[in-house]
Amino acid sequence: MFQVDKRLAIFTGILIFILGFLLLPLNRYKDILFLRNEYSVATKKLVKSYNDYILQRKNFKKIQASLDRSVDISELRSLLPHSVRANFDEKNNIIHVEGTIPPKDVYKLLSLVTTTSNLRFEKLHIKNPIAIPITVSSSAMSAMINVVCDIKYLEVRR
Amino acid sequence: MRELNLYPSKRKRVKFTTFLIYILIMLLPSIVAYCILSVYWKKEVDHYNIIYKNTLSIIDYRFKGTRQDIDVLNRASESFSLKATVLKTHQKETLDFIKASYISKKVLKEIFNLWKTREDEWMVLKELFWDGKSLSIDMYRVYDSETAKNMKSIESFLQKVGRLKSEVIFDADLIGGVKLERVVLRLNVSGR
Repeated sequence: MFQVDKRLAIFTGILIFILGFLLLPLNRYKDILFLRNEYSVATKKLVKSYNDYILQRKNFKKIQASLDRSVDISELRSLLPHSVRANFDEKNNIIHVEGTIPPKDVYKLLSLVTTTSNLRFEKLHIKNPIAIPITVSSSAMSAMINVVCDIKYLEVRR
Repeated sequence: MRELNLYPSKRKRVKFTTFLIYILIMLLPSIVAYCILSVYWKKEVDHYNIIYKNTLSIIDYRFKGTRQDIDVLNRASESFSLKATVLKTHQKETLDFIKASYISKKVLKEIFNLWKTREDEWMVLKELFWDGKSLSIDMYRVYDSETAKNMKSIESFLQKVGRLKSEVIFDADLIGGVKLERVVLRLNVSGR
């Protein structure tokens, strides 16, 4: 029958005792320490970034609330006077508008941009060749006014 | 009777089954300690699930007691940080827009409002140019020179907004104390 040297058996036993402690309970103890150290750090980090996100969202909503009279791009297409040509540069959020239009349309365009929160004139050039009065109601075709402008458009994220 | 050791050089040996039992006995304390610590570890995990309940509810997660938990939490933190950064960028973009449009709207709205509402000062626009920083207006103005102190409403408004240069190209007295003038106004908003 197979036999083992007694001294070798004792040595192996002690070795297994030490290795067993090193591998099993110590490993578990390390897991416990890991929980204690890492969980609080990771949760603190999560809470901090979440609070920051909530704060930014709140601030952003406040800012957005100031853009109360805003229009979206499809609405804007229908609001522009029909007499103007408008090119939408959706990449840069710029609407290039130009046309020779009646005075009432000049007013319509100006009031649209100045009263809409997410629009502003980046460039505006109005030329009144024969210096006729620009009035709100005047639509005389003989009194055409040249308008070239770049309207900057801010996309409002809801 | 005398005891004789007939094999003085013989090494003591143990049976293999005895050896295996011996090994198992030596492993037993480690296994017991492991089991006790595992129970404790499980309790700790449950404890952390309770104390961080609110935090974990943000991402709808429960601790499992592994390193994966930390990865999940770190990923969620990074995701929130990224969202916050995106919001900050949108905020800056929106604020810059509002800031830039404030002057533009204030100036243009007021000018056209004056054109619309002033009846004692008849203004006819010849040319207007606005580039976001400067404004140039070329216009004709007809007004009663007797009540001139109330005139020049555009100039008085623009002076409050920026650096204004006004140039009268020509002026003429018309009948009945009415005055006609052509004026070019140049406003620099950024230079203020």
